Amino acid sequence: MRNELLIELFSEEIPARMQRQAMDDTKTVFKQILDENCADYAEIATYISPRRIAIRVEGLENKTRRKTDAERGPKVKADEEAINCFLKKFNRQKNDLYERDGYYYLNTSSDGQEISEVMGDIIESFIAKMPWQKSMRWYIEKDRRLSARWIRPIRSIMCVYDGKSIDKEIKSVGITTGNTTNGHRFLSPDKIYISTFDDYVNQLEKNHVILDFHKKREYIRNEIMKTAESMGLCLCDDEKLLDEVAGLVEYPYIHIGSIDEKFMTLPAVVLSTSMKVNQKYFTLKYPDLTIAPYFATVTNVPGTKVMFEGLERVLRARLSDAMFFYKEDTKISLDEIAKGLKNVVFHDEIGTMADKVERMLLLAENDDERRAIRLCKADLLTQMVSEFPELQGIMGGIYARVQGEKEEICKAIEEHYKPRGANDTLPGTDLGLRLSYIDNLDTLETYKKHGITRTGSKDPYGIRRAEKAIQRIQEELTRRSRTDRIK
Amino acid sequence: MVYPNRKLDYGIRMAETTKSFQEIIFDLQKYWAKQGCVILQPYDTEVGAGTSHYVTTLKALGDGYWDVAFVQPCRRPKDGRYADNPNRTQYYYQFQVILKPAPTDPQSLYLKSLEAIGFDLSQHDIRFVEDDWENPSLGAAGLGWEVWCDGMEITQYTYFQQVGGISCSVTPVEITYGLERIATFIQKCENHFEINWNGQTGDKKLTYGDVLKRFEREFSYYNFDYASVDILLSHFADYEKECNKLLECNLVMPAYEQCVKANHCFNLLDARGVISVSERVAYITRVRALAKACCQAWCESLKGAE
Repeated sequence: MRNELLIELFSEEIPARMQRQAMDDTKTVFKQILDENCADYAEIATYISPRRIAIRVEGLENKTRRKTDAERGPKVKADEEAINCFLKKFNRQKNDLYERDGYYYLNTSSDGQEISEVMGDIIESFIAKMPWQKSMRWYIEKDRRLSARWIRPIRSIMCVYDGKSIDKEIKSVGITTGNTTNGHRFLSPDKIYISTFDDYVNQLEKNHVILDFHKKREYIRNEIMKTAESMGLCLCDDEKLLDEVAGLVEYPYIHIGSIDEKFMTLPAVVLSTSMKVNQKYFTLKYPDLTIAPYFATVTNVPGTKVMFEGLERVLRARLSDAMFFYKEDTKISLDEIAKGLKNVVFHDEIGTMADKVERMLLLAENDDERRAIRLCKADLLTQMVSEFPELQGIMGGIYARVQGEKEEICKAIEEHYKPRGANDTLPGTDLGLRLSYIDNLDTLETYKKHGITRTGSKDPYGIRRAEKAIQRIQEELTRRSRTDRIK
Repeated sequence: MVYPNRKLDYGIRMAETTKSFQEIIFDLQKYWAKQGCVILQPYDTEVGAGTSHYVTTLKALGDGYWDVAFVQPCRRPKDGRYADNPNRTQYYYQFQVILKPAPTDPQSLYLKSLEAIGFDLSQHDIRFVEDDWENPSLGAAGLGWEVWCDGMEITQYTYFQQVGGISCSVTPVEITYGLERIATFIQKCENHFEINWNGQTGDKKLTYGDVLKRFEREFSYYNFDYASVDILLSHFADYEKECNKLLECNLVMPAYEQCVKANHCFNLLDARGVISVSERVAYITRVRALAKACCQAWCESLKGAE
């Protein structure tokens, strides 16, 4: 007899960035456990929402297959007593034993069991085998002991087979399974009784929980785009932010808010980064791609006037901070700031950033390169880059422009950290290519000199990235000089 | 698929009244007292966070039950801005709650506490945003969230997993409210210095700025520009020495206090700009060694008591 199994682990909020992976891992692990338990099924699908992981198994056979196991016993050379003990444990005779690799083995087999009987073990196995990047234990008061590990405390577990509740005590987390779950934390927190998957999806939606992560994510993107378009704006795509924002709501409500005019004097990249990193707001642009004084955000409950005011007020505070950093940073010249590089460590055993700059200067071939090298690391000491490390290089270019450096030098500083990875583009300008080349070359040569290497799996200092960068830049520089010669 | 923006009727909505800074503190104390917490007073030595109070660090270890709540002024010398940035200061207040063991649904208790201080949860967007917390000097780590309200972080919520390098045998939950943030939120201020502290109006009104602006400015100068480095360096060495000596005498709590003083001393040296990046690692290691030793001594003493 084949029936539908529905399991849900209801916990406290799962980190947004882990949800996609967790959905996939759940499928892999649960499949493995069903196979280990000789349970036959047709299809398995997994689902995730901030507070729940759900598994649907269609066509699960109500009885597991007969299981054959080989139990390993004592070594063949062991004494009589050990061998008899082994035989006694499994209630077998001496002629049941067989040898393999110097050990005695017994073939044990167990009859198939009712799936409901093994469900407790299956769930225990799942909790034990699920791989979380980080996990925690919590205290089970009634048993006076710590729980098994999970990403966050589990509050209830639902287990429904063929429409009926399976009640099993999951000892490792001190919870007995049942057929209930809860809706949206604020909008519909009450208990819901579930019988089938379709019932589950419908009831959850009625109770303000979208179970399908991808649908929720695409809904958010489309709604923002639609609303932005109606205002003559377009959404700045950001897949990672979209993932995160989707993982932070059980039910999405889209809002567009405005940014005070006085902040629009900040560089677009600063506005964008502050909004994204601090507030998880999406940047909106005009059709000509200049940044618009609006942002898009997603909330977990319907918006109220009070809430909109709050969303804008907190952005004002963050952008005021950014303006403060910008003002303070631009009070001092980059040359002056660069004097502090002797206090910035490049690598514990090698030396400071000032040392690195000196070494890079030796590789320079003209005055522009020398000027760019002298200034390119100064932004590491600025308040803006301390607050937003991802803006290193970019802020250097912006601040260089503010103090009137040659445009080529500003551009070079801005792009000298490229390529940041295999998928990133190279610096566009010749000076930028040279600067990145010199920076990466110095890093590699210096590491080599001090015996710092990488292995296939461990590369804490990004040596491989630097190697690839150099390779790509060399190719590009060669290509460019060839094209120049043709011209 | 279309998910319509549902307009729900929450029935009668509580008009959110504004509360003064001190009223927020009174209401939090009242709420947690009702939950059975011991309402303590702050630790009277300089700490960077309520976590450093021995009722958090030491008491998080061992099997005993422990529910406390208290205000803790915090000092983070490096965060000073000479009172020019009204949202970032080197001195500020936390409201710290420790529940050990964490009860069945601490998040609900927390959310109710927000209602107790005047939040109408139906009008705000509250989120639990992943944030795992680590304090390297104390060898402490935990998993939890920042609690966001309408896009602003107002609370740190953490399940401790280890303190002083030792795993917690009974998981405590630490709930740390950022009082200034909460006050600016409830009072709809643009920044911390505008917070109404005493709830009065007109001439009698005293703001956060009235109370603390000068303190902030003078201490920023002290932390960044005027603190005597040689004195601080010798203080650090003294605190370290004394901590180790007191551990040998089996006086764990006085020893821990020396460790806390050493930590603050390090923070001052750091703000003063005399600690290089590589030296920082060494200093943190020294403080962590003291914290670890204190925590271990504490655990030993608990065993002895059984």
